Amino acid sequence: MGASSDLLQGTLDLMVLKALSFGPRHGYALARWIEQVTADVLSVEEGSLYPALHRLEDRGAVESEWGASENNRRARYYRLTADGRKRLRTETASWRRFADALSRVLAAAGATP
Amino acid sequence: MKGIFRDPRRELDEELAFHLEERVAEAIARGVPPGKARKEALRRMGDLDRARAACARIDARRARGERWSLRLEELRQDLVLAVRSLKRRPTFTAGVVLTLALGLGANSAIFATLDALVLRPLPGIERPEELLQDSGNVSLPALRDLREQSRLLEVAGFGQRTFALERGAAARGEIVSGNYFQTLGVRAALGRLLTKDDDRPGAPAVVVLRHEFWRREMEADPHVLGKTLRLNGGSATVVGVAAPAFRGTQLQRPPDLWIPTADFPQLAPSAVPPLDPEQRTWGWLTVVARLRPGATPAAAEAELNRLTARMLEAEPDQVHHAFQLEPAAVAATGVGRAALVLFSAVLSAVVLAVLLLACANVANLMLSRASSRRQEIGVRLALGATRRRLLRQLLIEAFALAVLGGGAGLGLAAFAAAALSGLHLPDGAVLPDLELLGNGRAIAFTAALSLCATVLFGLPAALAATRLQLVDSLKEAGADGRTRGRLRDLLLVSQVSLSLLLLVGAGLFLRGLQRGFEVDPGFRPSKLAFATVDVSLVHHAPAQAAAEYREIAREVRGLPGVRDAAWTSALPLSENEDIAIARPEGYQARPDEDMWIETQRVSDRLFATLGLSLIAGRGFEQREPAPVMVVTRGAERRFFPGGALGRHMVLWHGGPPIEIVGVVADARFHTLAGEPRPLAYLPLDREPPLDQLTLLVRAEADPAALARVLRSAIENAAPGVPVLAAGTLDDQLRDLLAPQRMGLFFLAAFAALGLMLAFIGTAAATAFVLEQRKHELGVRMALGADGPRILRMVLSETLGRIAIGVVLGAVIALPAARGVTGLLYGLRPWDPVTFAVASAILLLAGALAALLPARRAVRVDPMITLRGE
Repeated sequence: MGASSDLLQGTLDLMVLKALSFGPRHGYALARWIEQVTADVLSVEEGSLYPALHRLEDRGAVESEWGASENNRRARYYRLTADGRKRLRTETASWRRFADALSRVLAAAGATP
Repeated sequence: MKGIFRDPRRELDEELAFHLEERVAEAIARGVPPGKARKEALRRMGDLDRARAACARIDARRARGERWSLRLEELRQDLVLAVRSLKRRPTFTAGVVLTLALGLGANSAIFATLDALVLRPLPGIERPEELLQDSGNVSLPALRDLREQSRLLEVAGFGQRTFALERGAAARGEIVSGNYFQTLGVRAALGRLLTKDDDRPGAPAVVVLRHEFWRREMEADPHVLGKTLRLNGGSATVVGVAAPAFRGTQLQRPPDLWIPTADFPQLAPSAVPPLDPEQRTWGWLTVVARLRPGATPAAAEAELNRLTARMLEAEPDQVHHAFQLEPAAVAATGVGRAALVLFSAVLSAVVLAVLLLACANVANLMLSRASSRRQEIGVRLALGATRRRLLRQLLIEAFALAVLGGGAGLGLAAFAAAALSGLHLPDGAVLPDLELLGNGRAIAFTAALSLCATVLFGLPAALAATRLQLVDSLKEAGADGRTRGRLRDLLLVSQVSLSLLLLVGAGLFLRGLQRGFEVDPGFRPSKLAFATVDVSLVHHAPAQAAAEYREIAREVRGLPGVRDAAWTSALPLSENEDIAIARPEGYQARPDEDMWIETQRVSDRLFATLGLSLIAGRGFEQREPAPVMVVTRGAERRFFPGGALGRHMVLWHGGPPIEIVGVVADARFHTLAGEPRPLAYLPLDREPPLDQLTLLVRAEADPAALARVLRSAIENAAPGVPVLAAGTLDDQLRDLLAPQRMGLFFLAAFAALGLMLAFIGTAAATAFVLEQRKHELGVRMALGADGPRILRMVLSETLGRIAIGVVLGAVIALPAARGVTGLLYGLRPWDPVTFAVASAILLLAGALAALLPARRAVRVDPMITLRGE
């Protein structure tokens, strides 16, 4: 775990919500998805996914349900709720604004690092 | 109810284990050796223990929340059930809600009244609990010194004066230090309030108006700012109107306007004698101050006294006193506090009694209802409902009733409060607006009281209903539980005793009031009109003022319908009196003897105007060249048993002995209770003008009509002399008896309410008992008992209980009545007439309440009842 895993908590939540927007997944699948999409650059500490999931469930953004995994084991599946979908939309928008603003700052004329 | 039957901890472990095993399996599939794969999986997981602990914490919180929502859901179901069950019996529900609304509403209205009078008498002021007020007076320079030197207090001051407006009108004003409004934290409704800059010498004269005065006298003119107000012949610019709630720091006689101390010399030019506000020998300002953070009242008081001592060292010749700082809320009620507390205690006790009555009534109804629901409850118990659940169900029903009753009560109270607003209280105090529905405290009070009431009326019935034996209740004709019978008797007895208490209270006040009107004050108050003026605002030489008095009296005596007119310094039947210490010539006073004597300055013809007969000597002439006095018969008997004529009396320490030239009949001028007090009359024309003097006018016919023309007559005779008040002495008598009248009004209203509740309660209880005993009565009638006999039986049973209640109520009423003896004009608190009448009313009402249902019961054919079994 490097400095990059000290991600803002909100960022982790956002990633989880995004991952679940494609359909219900269990925690391990979630970890795999993040790993693939980010090419393992973020190297998220996988254990920290679970508090994020439970917290989101407590807040009503996701729901969980036990089901059978691909190789027929009992696994806990998480699914976005309507509330979670709304949260994903607003947080995506605000993240974009933040990223835009930051890249404009960094692109401003002046000494490059 | 997901997650309720699962163990979240085991699920968490299973979830994390699944993740690890999947990761290991994936690595092994890639060809990594199992040991390494395991290590790799754990590494990727990061701090597993921390993650697990975090999840467990979140899950536990969530489980707690779910338990709560489960409980809430159950509560909601109970509430729905309760509402449904209440809807099924609309008459019962309406009766209970109305009864509770009366009981709770009475309490809300009285709470709002007492809240405004006693608990929160200083509206419009910020954090009034930090404000302190002194009772003595300081000079303006001393106030300035205190303001600059005090470290514990923010010191401000005010002095009260009457100001002459234009055309003979007058206003009460307060002359205040520049920081007065800032210290009190008052807001402006319009324009601005006074500031330190207004209180500098040479600053333009400005005035701030009280909201009420602006509305009443200026018709709420929105363009009033910048206009000029004529005050005492000078003028000041209106710069603002204070917030509507603000009415100064005194409950009595709120000021109409405020001016800064710097404008005082200019706007009060004819003070008597003319005084320079910069003199340290003239104390005329009251200190009101705000505690600075961390300071205590005791330390602040000590500091002011220390500062005063230091000032005295520098300048010994100045007015001073020992500071006694009281919370401003206490000081605001002034001398009326003891009376207010008594008034509050009586009122609270009365409305509480009404609420208890209402609760007893409702408890009785609930009890009857529980009996008729015996089967339903029995079935539910048999089906496995726990007693706790049933109890809760019944209590929630009671709670729903209390909420409805409380809400309706608030509505009723808002109506009552609107009627009470603006009520004139004794001593010139006016009740502020009671905005009950906007008063969070009153609403919270009502809610809390409704909860208490729920327990009071709901619990007995609920306990009694769920205690019954299962088998017993499933049988159709189980005997009415003995407990419930006794409980019902207890409720009936307590209702009757509370009613008696209220009736006795109302009766005592009625008889006291009657006595008050019957007391002979010694003069005939009917057909007397009066007008109070302040000549000192215009003139300050004795001769000039005396000429003005004579001129006004001459003008008024010339009015049609006037029999006579004369001046006095004390308005009869008011509380304003001057007193002195009598030192009669040749009288040996005991060391502890009370030598107070009332003094009045009066003009010629006063005795004739009042109808006081001259017993010896002479009355006053228009001009009295030498100092003389006239004393009352009572004063002569006490101080000069051998005759007062030609003897002398000293009234003021170091004053001259004054010759007594006449003796007149006694009179009760200021209180109707007790013996007339000794009084010395002095001639008016020998003294500098007084700030308040009253012209008494004996009318041929209607004094009220005369009082209305007095203002213009005085304006004609003496232009510019302000008339402070005008009216009739009958009005004054009514004002003097205001506490009794208010006591009577409230007690009579609540006694009627209580009697009504007791009547309904008795009737309902009797009807219920008869219904339960239908079978027994049917048998008795079948065996030959006739209707009248049954009626007698029912009647004697009910009356027996009512008699017990009457006796019990009398025992409680006696000590309670002693508390209000002072208001009863010599009426003994155990006044037998009152007690006898109250008892008779209750017994009669009780008999009627028992007879109505009993007659219906005996009219039924016994065979029908018996066949119904």
